[in-house]
Amino acid sequence: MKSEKTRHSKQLLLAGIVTIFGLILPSTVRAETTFNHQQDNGQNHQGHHPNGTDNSTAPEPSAHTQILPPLPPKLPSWIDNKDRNHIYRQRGVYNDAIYNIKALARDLNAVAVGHAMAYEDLVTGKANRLETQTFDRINWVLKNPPRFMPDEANISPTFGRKYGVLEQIFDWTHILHAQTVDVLASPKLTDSEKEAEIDRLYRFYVETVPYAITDLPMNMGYLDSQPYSKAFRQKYPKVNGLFWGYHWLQGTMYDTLYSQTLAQQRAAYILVGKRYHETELYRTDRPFMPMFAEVSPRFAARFPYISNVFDNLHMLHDMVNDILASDWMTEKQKEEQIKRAIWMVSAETHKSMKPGKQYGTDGLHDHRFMPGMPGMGMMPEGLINHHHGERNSTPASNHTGH
Amino acid sequence: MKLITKQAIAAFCITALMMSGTTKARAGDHNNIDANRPLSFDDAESIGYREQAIEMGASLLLPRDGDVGGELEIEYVYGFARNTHFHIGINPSIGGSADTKDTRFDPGNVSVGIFHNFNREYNNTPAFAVRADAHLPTGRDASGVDLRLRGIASKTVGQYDRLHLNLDLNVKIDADSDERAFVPGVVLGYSRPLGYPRRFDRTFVAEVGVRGGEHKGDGAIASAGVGLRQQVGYQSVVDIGLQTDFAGDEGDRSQLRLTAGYSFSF
Repeated sequence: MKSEKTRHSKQLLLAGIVTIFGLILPSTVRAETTFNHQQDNGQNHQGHHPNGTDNSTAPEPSAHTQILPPLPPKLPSWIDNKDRNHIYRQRGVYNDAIYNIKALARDLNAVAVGHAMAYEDLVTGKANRLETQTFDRINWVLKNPPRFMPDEANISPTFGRKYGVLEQIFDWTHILHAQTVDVLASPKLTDSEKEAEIDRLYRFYVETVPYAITDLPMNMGYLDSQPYSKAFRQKYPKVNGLFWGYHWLQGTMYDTLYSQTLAQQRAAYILVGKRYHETELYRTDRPFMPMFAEVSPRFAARFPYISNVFDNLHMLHDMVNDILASDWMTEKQKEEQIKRAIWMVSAETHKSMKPGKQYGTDGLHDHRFMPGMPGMGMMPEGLINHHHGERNSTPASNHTGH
Repeated sequence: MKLITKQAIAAFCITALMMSGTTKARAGDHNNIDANRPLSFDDAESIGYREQAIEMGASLLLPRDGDVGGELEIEYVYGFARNTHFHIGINPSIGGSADTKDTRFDPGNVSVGIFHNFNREYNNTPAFAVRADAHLPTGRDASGVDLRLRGIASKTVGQYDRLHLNLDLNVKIDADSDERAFVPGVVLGYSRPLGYPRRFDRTFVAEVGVRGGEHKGDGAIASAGVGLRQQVGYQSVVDIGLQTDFAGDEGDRSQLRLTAGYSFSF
């Protein structure tokens, strides 16, 4: 994005301005600023009080403490960027066409609120309320969805200040989510125009920023076998159920809309929306998050790379949930593991790799699906028994989905 | 009521009505605050890269000792680079204001400017930005270029409350003998989203400010304002605000300013 020289000059300039501002406006939030997380990745604060002040102490290592994998030695510079980097969506006649199916549009607006509320409560010392007050707040919004798409950053400002790069990645991939659905819902494009436009949107997604998520089929068994894995679903099953309900909707809607007329789409969403609200949001018995190719096989077969991006995005959400829910980690460890999770699913980490191949034996670069075949989340123990996979285990090589 | 007053009020009401009737058109982000939409302060965030926006507003001016006046403002904003945008605008006016006793129609000065955000707000570090504006002398009786340099810092205090410190330096290139060439100013803005956790489309804004008098010997002028930004469409926001100037001394006249605006992105 920027040359090293420019970046360091900017940091020096910022340091000067920060000092001046600090004299003018005394801080109400106590935290350490680090300009280079590779030199000093730590902060001494542990959690935030709603008023922005720290109110807890670092957890002492306990019996639950596990050996955490280290950060890779050389991380890309963008992973520590301090820029805002808001990028506007592609222009097109299809923008906001999802509002032609108003119920779906509003349900998607509510989804944005739910993730943000949970993240904000997790980083402001309210994790103990997640299954009660937080769940109720999110559930109210799900039942009374907002008219317009909220800006998640506004709902979770504390989370955004701590994990701004992660927020950029989420936001950027959510734009791809939103625009591809707008294309499918647009009555102004033919089916062939829609397919071409979705391909164009995908190119825009991968070429515009360095922090796109990889389009390779990831080994979900590996990603879900980290030392912190499954913490969130075990501690907060109701809220996790909501999240996986969102993922069910965000996957299912593609085949609901794909190659259908607007009338068919509206009629179909009456059924899909009913199932979403009555059943899928409140399920707590899923062994794993819904995978895109399971719920939208037609779209996934046509656009496997987009399908993979969305699965990997949702897996990143799960990894972040698990990290934030692991109270045996220090704040510094959480920050490092979130950074590592970003690195694991980023396109840059898997550059030049191909689907259908395995690179190394650790599981991270295990992309053994046929080229063009959407990933189905290789699991070491299969779907039925997937609840406590062996940590860092390598999936069976012949396993090709469920 | 004077004809000029009626015209000003009519223009304001028509504009406000047009805005309130528009429901489908970030700018379209109610929480991203630009100067004059509706108060005078900026937050430190630029609009998005490649984003374009039209921001417009109408103000009703109620000087303490003069005729009622009206102002329009239309501005085009373009995010031509990351974290940076360009803007160009014009603000024609008619009727009275605290600045002049001339009530004739004035096409206003064309303003061009650039805004750059240095960093997002992170951990304990505020978001910082700078904007520079040049006002070209296209208005009635205007001469010389007026410049304004504004430094901006935005910082969250508490969970959702945000403060926005704006430090201004106004430079008059072709100042008359009785005018100051350099006029400093400071504005402290405040914003807070309203309605959480049940609605996500409304932001309350307020400000207090002090600026130097434009003429030599004039004292500083204090100002205050409150306002609201309300999302009304997928990419559009309506704003409404009330501002007042407090006379720094007897040489300046205070006024009330009622503003309504509409912004949309595309």
